[in-house]
Amino acid sequence: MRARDREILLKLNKEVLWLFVTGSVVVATLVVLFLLRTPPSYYEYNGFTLGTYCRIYVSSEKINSKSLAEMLFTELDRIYKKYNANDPESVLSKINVSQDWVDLDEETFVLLDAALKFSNMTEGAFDPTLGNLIHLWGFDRLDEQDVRVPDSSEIEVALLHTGYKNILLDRQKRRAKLLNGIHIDLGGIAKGYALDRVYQIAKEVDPDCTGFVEAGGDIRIIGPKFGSRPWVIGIRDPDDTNECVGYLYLDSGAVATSGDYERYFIVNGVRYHHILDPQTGYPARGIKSATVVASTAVTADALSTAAFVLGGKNWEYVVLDFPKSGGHVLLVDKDRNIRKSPSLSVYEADR
Amino acid sequence: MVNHSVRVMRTALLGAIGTAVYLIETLIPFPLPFGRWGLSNFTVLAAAIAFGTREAVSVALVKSLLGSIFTGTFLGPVFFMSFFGNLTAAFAQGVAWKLRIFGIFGVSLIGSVVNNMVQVTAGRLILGSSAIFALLPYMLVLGSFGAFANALIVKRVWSHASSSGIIFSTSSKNVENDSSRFQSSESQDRGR
Amino acid sequence: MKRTGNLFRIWDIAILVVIFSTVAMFFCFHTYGEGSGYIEVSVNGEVVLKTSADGVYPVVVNGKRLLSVVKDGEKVRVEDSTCPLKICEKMGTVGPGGVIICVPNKVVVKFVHTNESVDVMTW
Repeated sequence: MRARDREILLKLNKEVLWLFVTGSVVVATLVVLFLLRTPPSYYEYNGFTLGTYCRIYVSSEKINSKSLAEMLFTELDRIYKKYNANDPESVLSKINVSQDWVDLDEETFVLLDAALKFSNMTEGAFDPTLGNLIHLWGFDRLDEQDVRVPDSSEIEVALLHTGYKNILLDRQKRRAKLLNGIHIDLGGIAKGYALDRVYQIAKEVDPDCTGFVEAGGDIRIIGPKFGSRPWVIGIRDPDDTNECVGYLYLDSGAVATSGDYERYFIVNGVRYHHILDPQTGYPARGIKSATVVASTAVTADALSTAAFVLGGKNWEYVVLDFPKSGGHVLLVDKDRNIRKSPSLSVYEADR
Repeated sequence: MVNHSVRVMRTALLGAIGTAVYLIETLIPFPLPFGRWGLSNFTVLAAAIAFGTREAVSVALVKSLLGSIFTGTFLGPVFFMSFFGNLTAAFAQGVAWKLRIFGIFGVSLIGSVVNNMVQVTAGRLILGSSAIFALLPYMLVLGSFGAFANALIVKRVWSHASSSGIIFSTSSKNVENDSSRFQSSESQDRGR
Repeated sequence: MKRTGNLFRIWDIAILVVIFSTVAMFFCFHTYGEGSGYIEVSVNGEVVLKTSADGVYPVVVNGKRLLSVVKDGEKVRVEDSTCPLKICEKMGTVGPGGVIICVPNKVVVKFVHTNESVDVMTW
């Protein structure tokens, strides 16, 4: 009888051990599930750079969200200063004033190369060499006083000093030369590039960080909201600041919009906006806004400008052909018709 | 040879214990609405393990009918939810034990999961709203606790029964000749 | 073969792991309460009230008042229910994404997220 008692005791001890182990596991799991479930907190940083209003909205569990946001803003500002055509000290100005080959740093070379790639892709609808035209129209000036519509003869002269084919890139020696006195203006791509850079930096610092960065209506998603939900992006109604013509749900990638309401002046009841048609030298007509969703902000930024320019002439081409280059388009034309790529529907459904 | 009166007696006994625990259990607070820890389900679990599926379902039937009559929820919407949940859980536990791959806790857990799922599904039909599914994850986790407690009780009952010489459950095929189940301790000792 | 009364066998742990990982996944993919939204009250699966305005809303079916829904900013709760156990009242207040259920009255009060809350505008 004693032997059996001991046997039972031994058995009970084993059982108690088992209970303890499973009990602790269950309790630990519950603690993780119920108590440590604090939603990630986002830090919002607002600042003025890239010639516009920028908003950084990030959350990181690895480093302080605030310092991450500040780090990203510093990067935006660095790129703005480097490629600001109005600043005589900027890298871009040095290229613009030089009559000869200019040695480029790798970043600038890659950026120019990307810009030319989009110019070729869109057959010049996106053109980074409109510096002279933009200056003539006065869209490079911050003050919008004494604006005037240039004479057609002036525009014709300025058009002679534009054209992306006048940029020569020397791959071997990593240098560039501008022909025909053209001036580069990277306004249509620098924002996108800055946003993509910021994305890379954020992911290098913390691969799991989430949020988005916005620079003047162009948005680069860093990661899904709270790690799981898409961000809800409203497409602004061209005629009403507070209304939306549509919603997009993005958990990655980028979106950019070009609109005739961003920078413009009105003379004799005609609106002259800042998106110039490289062929005519006049503001592109027919479209009120062009929104492009793409996997990178550079693509979205460059293609939204191209979509705006081409959309007034041949919207079918823009809507159906741009997706092949990775840009999914939504156009609002002058009669408020909305034309969009069939592939855009992927981003319009709230998953 | 199945002794019919033994079977009725066993069902009645376990059903009565179950009902009593069911009533006492209503006094224990539970963090979710219309949920309970399900401690009375140990009687069903014991029946499923010791006597088989049929008796487990019978015990569950007795327990939920009597329990709901005594708590005054008989034929109300909550009653239907727990009624169907309990019956299917009893059936599932009996089948799970017969599969011979689960331990006591596993069978108990299966009962708890099936119970919760059926309850929520029944609740969805009654309410006409899927909102109730939001409660399911919480119910599953809390139900695991109840299932564990039940398994522990049955394990103790088993240990006690076997140490006093009663074979609690040998194999599933013994459902037929279960009259040999309640042997006296002397005969068991003599057998050795 | 003599059956031993093991408390745990390997498959038990497997089931437990499956349950807990399912629940964990639910919590991982569950959305956090966002803020704005509207409440939707349904009786017997039929929506009887949909509002985003604060206030006390009695739910009346066939002339019989069942309960009152109180919306107060980001919170909603149930008051004065005619059900016997008052479980719905005991559920307290819930925020956006939450739900209160009164089984005896077959009333479901949902605090629905508003999807139109745009995070950011493109322009």
